Amino acid sequence: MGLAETDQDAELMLRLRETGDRRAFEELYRRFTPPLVSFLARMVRDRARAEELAQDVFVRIYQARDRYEPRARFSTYLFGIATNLALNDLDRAHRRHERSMEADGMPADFGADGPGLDEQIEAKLTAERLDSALAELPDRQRAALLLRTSEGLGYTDIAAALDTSVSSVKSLLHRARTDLLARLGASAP
Amino acid sequence: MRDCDRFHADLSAHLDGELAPGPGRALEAHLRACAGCATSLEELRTLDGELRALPEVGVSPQFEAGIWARIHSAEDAPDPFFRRLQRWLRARTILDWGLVPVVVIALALFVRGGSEPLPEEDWALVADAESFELMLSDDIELVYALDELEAWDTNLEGI
Repeated sequence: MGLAETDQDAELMLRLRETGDRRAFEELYRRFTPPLVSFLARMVRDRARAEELAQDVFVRIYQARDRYEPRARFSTYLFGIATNLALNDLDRAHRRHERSMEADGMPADFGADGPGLDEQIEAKLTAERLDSALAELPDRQRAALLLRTSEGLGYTDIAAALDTSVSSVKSLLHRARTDLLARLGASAP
Repeated sequence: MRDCDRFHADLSAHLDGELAPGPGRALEAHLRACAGCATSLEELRTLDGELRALPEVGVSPQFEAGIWARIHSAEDAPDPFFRRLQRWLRARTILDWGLVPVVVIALALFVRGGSEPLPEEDWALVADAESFELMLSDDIELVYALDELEAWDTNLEGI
């Protein structure tokens, strides 16, 4: 999902910083919770853990409200924190060899008013295949690809989130896409 | 083929609109002449469309309450010593810092006043004082008084 980014998000943060207005913070987390949890769930492959990490992101943002400066878009700031938390969490999990790879009922929020049943089943199968292939990508490739395609971040913002250079982002995205295509081709019925 | 390898690495950045104008024009010229690379670009475009269309992951109804619970829990928890020290130091004004030398000098005078060195002849008394766990100079006067009482007792016995 691409976010219709406006300065409004930064303005809400500034309102929280200047006046401590909790409604501004509520508006922010209500707006960003769905894409943030989706991003984190696809990063850590565990919906419950994704929610914990998303809460952690918002708690950190709230606690650091006095030091907030709108140097970049708010979504860049938010997804930068989320990416760091997700990668650290995955590192810890890799070290413990406890990474959960089960599908955990990944995205299955098909509305009753959506397309017909056949289309729903087809869409669900495509999404499941794509989610499985995404899960097999190296963590940083997956993060770069999701930040680009789902959140619409530019290369400079992705580089900041991953603490790397723009040319590395270009390379990460190229490898992520060709690798993903190869995996999807291999798993095609 | 070598050209295709070179241009293939740029397809992704081209799709994202992140390729510099020079390489971008060269790639577009190549795409017009190379059906294989044009097909690869279309595959990447389709993949991106599928990624964008991935459904959102549902969020539990307790999610929002969890945010506030964690914020309140963090606010109620006692701050670690280092953070309290940081906050205390940050809250100091120039006036506060100006008082620092005054406080240091006052403390130095106080400490010095409380531990005046004893005259050399009194070291034997200090040994006595230690046995009574009396280390302060005021208390040593008690030891003097005790010595005088003992001497008085001895004198009385001699009478």
